[in-house]
Amino acid sequence: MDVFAIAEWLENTAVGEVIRTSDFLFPLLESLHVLGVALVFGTILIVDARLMGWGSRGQPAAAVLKQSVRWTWIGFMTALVTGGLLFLSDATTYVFNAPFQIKMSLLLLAGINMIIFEAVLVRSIAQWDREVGIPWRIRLSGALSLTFWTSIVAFGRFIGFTKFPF
Amino acid sequence: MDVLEQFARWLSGTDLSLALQVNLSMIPLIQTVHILALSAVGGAVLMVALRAAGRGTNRPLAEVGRQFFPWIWGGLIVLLISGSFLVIAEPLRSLTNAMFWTKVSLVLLFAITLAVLHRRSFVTEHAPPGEWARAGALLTSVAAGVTVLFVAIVFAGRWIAYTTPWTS
Repeated sequence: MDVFAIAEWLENTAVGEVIRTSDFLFPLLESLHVLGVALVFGTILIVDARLMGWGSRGQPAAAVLKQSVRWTWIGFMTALVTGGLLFLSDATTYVFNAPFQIKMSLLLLAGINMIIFEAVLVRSIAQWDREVGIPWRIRLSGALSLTFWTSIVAFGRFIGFTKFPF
Repeated sequence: MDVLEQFARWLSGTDLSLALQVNLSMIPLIQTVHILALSAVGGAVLMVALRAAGRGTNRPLAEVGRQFFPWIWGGLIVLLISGSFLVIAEPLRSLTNAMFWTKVSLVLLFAITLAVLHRRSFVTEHAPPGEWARAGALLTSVAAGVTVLFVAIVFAGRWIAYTTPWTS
């Protein structure tokens, strides 16, 4: 079964059909998707800014991380579910859309960067939080995260402008 | 033809508007900046609102305010500038659109409510202990207010694209 066949099947499910033919479901899902994205990017920006030493210096990085991370996940789950439903409504178009493909690849990279941070870098957080400077690998992790997420938002916005073949 | 439509038609003929219309990447690029700034404001507002409602951290509200209000006001300025460019790029899509003016009204309310929250965040720092409960109740409603307004603004913003301007 190739990707196109899967996309075709998804698109023809009852849910895909309902979203495609409804007047308000698509903008409703888009609005919720923007809210999810805003939660993800807004809270990640606070953390990344702290990791790079741009903001929230008055608070330990561990505390900044702790108060944000739950909301990042709530936002991510919202964006994932709404994004999945938006995809479902026109799957055969999206799978061949270049900005969509780039966005998905960037999400993967952002995920890998996050795993490295959570599995390796975060272990030493209590130690470097007490030091004056922020280690370069922490700053790099924050800079990469911010770059990935900024690009994810940008390519996401471009999907709607390149969706129709021309 | 009403005044707004006349203005929108004049604006769409200006050099700046034409320059933005000719380059097909400009609108999604400006919208990207708009969404990024919106997210920055949203995240910072959430942190302040949570603290104002007495949730999560037990740090003083004034301290949380000092940490996040620069992001909020800075983000709003970026939103105002990027939003203005979007209006200049497509004046007839926005200026003669009821949903656009709904959003503008909500943004004004949002800014006023935030200013109230910003002021109160310093006031409560020096409030005598007997007044904390009263101040707390007020702060909780203001925090709920900014959160609801933010959600409404996002919805109104997205719906501009789906609302037909009165000129067409």
